[in-house]
Amino acid sequence: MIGRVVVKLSGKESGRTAVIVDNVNDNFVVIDGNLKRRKCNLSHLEFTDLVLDIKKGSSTKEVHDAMKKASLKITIPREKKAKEVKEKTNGKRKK
Amino acid sequence: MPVPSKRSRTLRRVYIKTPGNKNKILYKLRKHSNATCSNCGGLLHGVKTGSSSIIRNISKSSKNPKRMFAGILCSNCTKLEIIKRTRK
Repeated sequence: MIGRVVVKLSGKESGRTAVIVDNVNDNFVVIDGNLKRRKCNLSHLEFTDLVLDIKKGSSTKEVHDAMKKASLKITIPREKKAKEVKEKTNGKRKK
Repeated sequence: MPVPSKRSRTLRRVYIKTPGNKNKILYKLRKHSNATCSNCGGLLHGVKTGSSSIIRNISKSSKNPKRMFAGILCSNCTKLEIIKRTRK
């Protein structure tokens, strides 16, 4: 079960690919990949034939690396870059 | 003869009888039909309809649900469509 590539069917993230990372109980799993790591009902997932070799409870960084190896597209950036703060000059040129 | 803008059928006509027992015509805006699913024909939830002047002033996020095929397919038909694509 862990490492299986799935496609989300319902909600605003429907159509996005993810990987099963952890089991919660009979009906729920934890998924990660092209979406925010979240708990998900099994009936909201469509399973594919692909299985990645990742450990149970691995981090998003490890999941993204495993997806890159399997040549799956990663649409979500791993970390958001901090915005550069410009110094206020009040319309005057810097000396 | 009515003014040229009232001769076309863009406005719907409502026939009424006045208290002075005269027949008059009221010109009113037509109702816009609800958005339907292109696959099954069912009504779509969460899609705003109305005249363009009303829709223009609504925020973009509240016009449609944020989903794949939002405003075109219903939620059940999107499920079937995604399953069809993944099983290819």
